[in-house]
Amino acid sequence: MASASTEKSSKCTQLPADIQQVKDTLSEVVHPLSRPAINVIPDHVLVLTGTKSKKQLSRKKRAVKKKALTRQNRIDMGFYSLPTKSLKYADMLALHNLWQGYMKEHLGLDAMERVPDVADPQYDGFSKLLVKADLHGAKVLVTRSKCPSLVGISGIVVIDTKNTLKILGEDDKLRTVPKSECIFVIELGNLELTVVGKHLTIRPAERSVKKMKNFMDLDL
Amino acid sequence: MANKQKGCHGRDVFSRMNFLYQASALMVEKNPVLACHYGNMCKSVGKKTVLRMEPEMKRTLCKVCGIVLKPGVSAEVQINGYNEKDQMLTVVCTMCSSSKNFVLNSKYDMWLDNPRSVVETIPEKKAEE
Repeated sequence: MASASTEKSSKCTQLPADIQQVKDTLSEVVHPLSRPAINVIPDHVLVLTGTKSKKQLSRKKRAVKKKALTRQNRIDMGFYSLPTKSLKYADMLALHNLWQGYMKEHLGLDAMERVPDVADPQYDGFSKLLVKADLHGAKVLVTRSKCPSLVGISGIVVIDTKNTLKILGEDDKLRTVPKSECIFVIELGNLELTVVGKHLTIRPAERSVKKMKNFMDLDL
Repeated sequence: MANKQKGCHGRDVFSRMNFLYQASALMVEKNPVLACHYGNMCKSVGKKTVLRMEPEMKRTLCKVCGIVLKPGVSAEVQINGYNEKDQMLTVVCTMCSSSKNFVLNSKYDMWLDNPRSVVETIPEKKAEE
């Protein structure tokens, strides 16, 4: 009835103590009524001996590779809660200067004599470029809004999210402004570009991929 | 006008990634959290548009939090290993304490260092016209 299965192992030895062991373990497994029927044939018992390979013995728990931060880690590091008062406007001016250079290159202002008018054929391409541009470091002023208390907020954009802009004002205060309700004026050197906030409500990383279709009608 | 300007594929995206990288490098000392944000943005823009960064540049961004690894400011740099053969350069990010290892004394060169890897060079003048 009992016969231990053979495997690809090296040496096989037989010991009476092992047979007893097999009997004990079997009697635990088998239905209580059929226990007396257990008959272990010694010839059929194979005891497998062998040492574990070196690899098996030295298997240590490998350190799990840290791939991405979890949301809790990000919260702990303060990614979602920028200090509203300790950021300095003067520090951000350097970022603004950098942004100006980028924006001039992006819009191709050096090669252009003047910014295209609404009637110009290039107007469509230019406005698409403007919407696709990165806003980190832009000087922005809210000119019109559904919410009257937002009108007049100005400063440098510090963080750009899907639905909001975090604007650092000249008084070193960080304000969060919803995009879809506002019309922004972007200052670029001596230019003032007006952008409707609703067109900017794309995640900033996807902005350069997304194809802009006809600009939707305004609802302000 | 704007469309003619493109000398190579995804030129505007590359300039955007470049700007974000520089912004991250600028904010490292003043506000590391913002630097993380800009570096992450740089990486994710590249992911979305399927454009690759130059390896030397990519290696200076932390792979976990995205901050620009500036030795002494946002990263600790050390060389491990006694044998010259298996010396490793370890860069540990101070923000998220993740580390990057680079083999020093490697026998192999990067493919990009090989002059044969350059297929075509687009002159800058053409791009500006």
